[in-house]
Amino acid sequence: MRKKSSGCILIAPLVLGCLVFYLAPFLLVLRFSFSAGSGKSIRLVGLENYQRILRNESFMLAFGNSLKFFAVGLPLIMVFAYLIALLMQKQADRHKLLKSVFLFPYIMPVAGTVLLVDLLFSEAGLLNSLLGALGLPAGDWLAGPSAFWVTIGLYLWKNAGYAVILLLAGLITIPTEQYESADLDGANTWQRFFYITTPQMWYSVFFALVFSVINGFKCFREIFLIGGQEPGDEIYMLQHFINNSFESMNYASLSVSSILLLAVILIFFGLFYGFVERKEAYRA
Amino acid sequence: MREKTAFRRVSGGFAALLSVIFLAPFCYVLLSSFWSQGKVSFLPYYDVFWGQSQYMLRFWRSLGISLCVGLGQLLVSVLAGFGFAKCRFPGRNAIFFGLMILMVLPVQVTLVPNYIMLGQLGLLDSYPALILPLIFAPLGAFILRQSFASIPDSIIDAAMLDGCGIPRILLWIAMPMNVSGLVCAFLLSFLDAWNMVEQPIAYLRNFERYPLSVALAYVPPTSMAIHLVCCILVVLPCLFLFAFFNRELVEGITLAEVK
Amino acid sequence: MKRWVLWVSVLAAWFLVFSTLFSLRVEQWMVPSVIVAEPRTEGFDTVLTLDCLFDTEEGLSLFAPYEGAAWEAGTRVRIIEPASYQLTQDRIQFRGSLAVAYATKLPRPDALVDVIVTPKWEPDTWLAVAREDTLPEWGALDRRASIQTQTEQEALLALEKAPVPFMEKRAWGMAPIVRQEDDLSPWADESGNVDKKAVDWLAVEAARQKPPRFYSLNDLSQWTAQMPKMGLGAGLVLAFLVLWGFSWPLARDWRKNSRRLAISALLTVASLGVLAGLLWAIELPSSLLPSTHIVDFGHYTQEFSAIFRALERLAAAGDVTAADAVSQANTRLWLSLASAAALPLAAAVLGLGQVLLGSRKNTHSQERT
Repeated sequence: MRKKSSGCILIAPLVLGCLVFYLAPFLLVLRFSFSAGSGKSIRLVGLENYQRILRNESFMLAFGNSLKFFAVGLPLIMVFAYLIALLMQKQADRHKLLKSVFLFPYIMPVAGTVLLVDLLFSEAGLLNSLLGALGLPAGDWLAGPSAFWVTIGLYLWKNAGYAVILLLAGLITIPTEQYESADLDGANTWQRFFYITTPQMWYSVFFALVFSVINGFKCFREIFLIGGQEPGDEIYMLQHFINNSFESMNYASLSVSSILLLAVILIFFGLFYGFVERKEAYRA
Repeated sequence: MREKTAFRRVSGGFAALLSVIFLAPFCYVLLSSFWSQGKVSFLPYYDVFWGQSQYMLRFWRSLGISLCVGLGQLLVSVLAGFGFAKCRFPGRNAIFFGLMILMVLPVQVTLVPNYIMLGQLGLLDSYPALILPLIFAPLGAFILRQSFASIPDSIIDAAMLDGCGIPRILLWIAMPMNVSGLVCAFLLSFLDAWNMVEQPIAYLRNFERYPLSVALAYVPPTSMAIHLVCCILVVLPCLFLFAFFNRELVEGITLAEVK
Repeated sequence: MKRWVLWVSVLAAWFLVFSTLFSLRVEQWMVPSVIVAEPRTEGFDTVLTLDCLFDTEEGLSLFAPYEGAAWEAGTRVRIIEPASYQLTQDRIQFRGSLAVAYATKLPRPDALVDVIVTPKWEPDTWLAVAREDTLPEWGALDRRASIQTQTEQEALLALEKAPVPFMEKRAWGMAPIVRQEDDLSPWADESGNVDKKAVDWLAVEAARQKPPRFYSLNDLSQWTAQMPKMGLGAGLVLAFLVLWGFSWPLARDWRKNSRRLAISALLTVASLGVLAGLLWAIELPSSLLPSTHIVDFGHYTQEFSAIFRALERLAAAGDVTAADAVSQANTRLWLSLASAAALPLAAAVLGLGQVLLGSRKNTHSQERT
């Protein structure tokens, strides 16, 4: 079987729906990015919008901040989740409860996390009272550079469990005989990690990365609800820029930033996917 | 030997610390919900569950939307996942990669054009505007393609030789073998719909029609105690689903990558 | 583990549906009817009458209506800042636009209210219960009111036409007590003169003798008429809980007991339907309901014991209406208690029977093999 027609029929609903609700809007975005004016006076202006936006300070700030967020957050979450997964690898059965608890922060609703951040990090919050009790100076944790780290911390807390489970799944499939024979050959922990674990984990790492990026973008909700439309400079993300462009009806900058974001994602994932596929083909 | 016990103790302690970090906020929210105006009081719980109907009505509204999205996406993703996994047609990998990229994009990118398009379709300010885009999200197809790919081709070939059509193969062979994947896809899309914030603000016109998660997040109730109790209410269905599908979920995410 | 989660979640789901239905109805019951007053102009001031003040936990306060938004949508009332009005000897100087004059019960701050404009007028009997040892002296009664029976601590007033819904402060207006001399001694100087401008009239008003508690017998008989339905509802809820408890042994072996479990599921849904019908059939008079929340059992015991003590004493003094009211209330109370107890007992019997039947079938089939 595997006839072309049956395949096409099966994927038709999803592809049609995606076309209507995701691709068509995206093509609209593409068109907006090449035009200027609004309402009846839309005209195509080529790459003028792109040039203009690369000179826009808010855009460069937002883009830079988003890049910084992922540049810091993604490795941190992967390392954190990997460490936990490795630790759990040997004792996955002993910590069955922990396996379920990992996902609890993920199901916490946005309202709940916003409330928690407020309770912990606001000026009258738990952290400040703790510091006060210890005699250390209190600070405004939700403004300035510390806001960025609070956001990273929130991202890690909420989404680490998700990545842990993805990585743990991959770790479980590695047969233990390989480790045992490596032990017999006298390998230490580092060598075991690099020569046995890592080569077989590329697909899991890729998956964990994809979902961590998706979850990272979702962190915007909490930042928006805590910081408002114009948060401090440190946590002004690309999505804030897009949102504010929407508020000021500046469809052009909105679209251009979306296209640039897509370009970065495409390049990043394309490269990584190619890398992973090559490693997998090498292994097989 | 001593090294191993030390390692076990350290890892055990680490696991315990992690459990505390992950669970503590929940316990804090739960305990604080009983604490109103400086003393233990059940009045906020009374207010949310029996005193006013608006909280429960919003709850059912959210539940209805999320169930529609979860089941709808399940249906669409089963078809698409099977198609991507088992059928060969030109451009299969390219389309799949494209879908994956669409999945990763943040909501803000397509929010405005979606708004324009939904306006033209006449669906603005109604619940289908929230439900339909989420039904066609690629997330479910992504997960289910991986889990369907793990079905050995021989089984499907044998079934085809016996004269089964694709619907039959799907219903009686593919789906029962992949309950974990199905549950995983359903749960994740349910969660996405349950926690959605940006779309209702953009597509719905007034506060009365907001589902619970958005109403709570966007306009917090003036009383902190009621806010806390509402948070508990919002977490309740997710907790139930996670407790009920615990086994499948962990296995399902597992299966999503076993090639 | 799954079965346990499912079993608990059946109760949780039933509770959530029940709470939705209950809250829809409680919201309607707990809304007090209020009459608002516009301040009238007197010279340079806008004034309200003194009876617009409500006796709240924080002392005498004034309420004003407002339109809320978002979570607090609808017409609500809030307590006005004491700084924005001033009391004189017999009026309130108020610069706002509207204030609440009368209400069926003390409004809860920031709660929904129903503003009515013209109340209806129907014959009624009012019960007055003294706050202290004896009833104060009656002043000039409204021409539609007359004292039917009076004892030391309580009195029954018959009214040709009484405003419906019943508002206690209106009763104070229609059946007033003799107003006592104001005690202005705390503000007098050595020679006994009082500077009227320095007097805290709010404190004077708060210290004044309060009129007796008034209750409407029409409202009371409406309440007692609902009691059998309330008992039925309570019995139904308890019966469901009992059946749910007994469903656990059935659930353990659910394949065999699938038919019985299906019947239980049907009964669950049916119970919710019947409860909904009952809830909408119950009409509760607002004047007898508590101010904050409907399950304030302390309020109920306090009010109803005061009412029935007074009625019994009046009945002993020979009043026929009081005696009728008491006996009617008694029969209805017994009816409600009976149904509240009978339904769960029936459910328990049913549940026990199912479990025993199930286990006996087990032993029979085991014997046969």
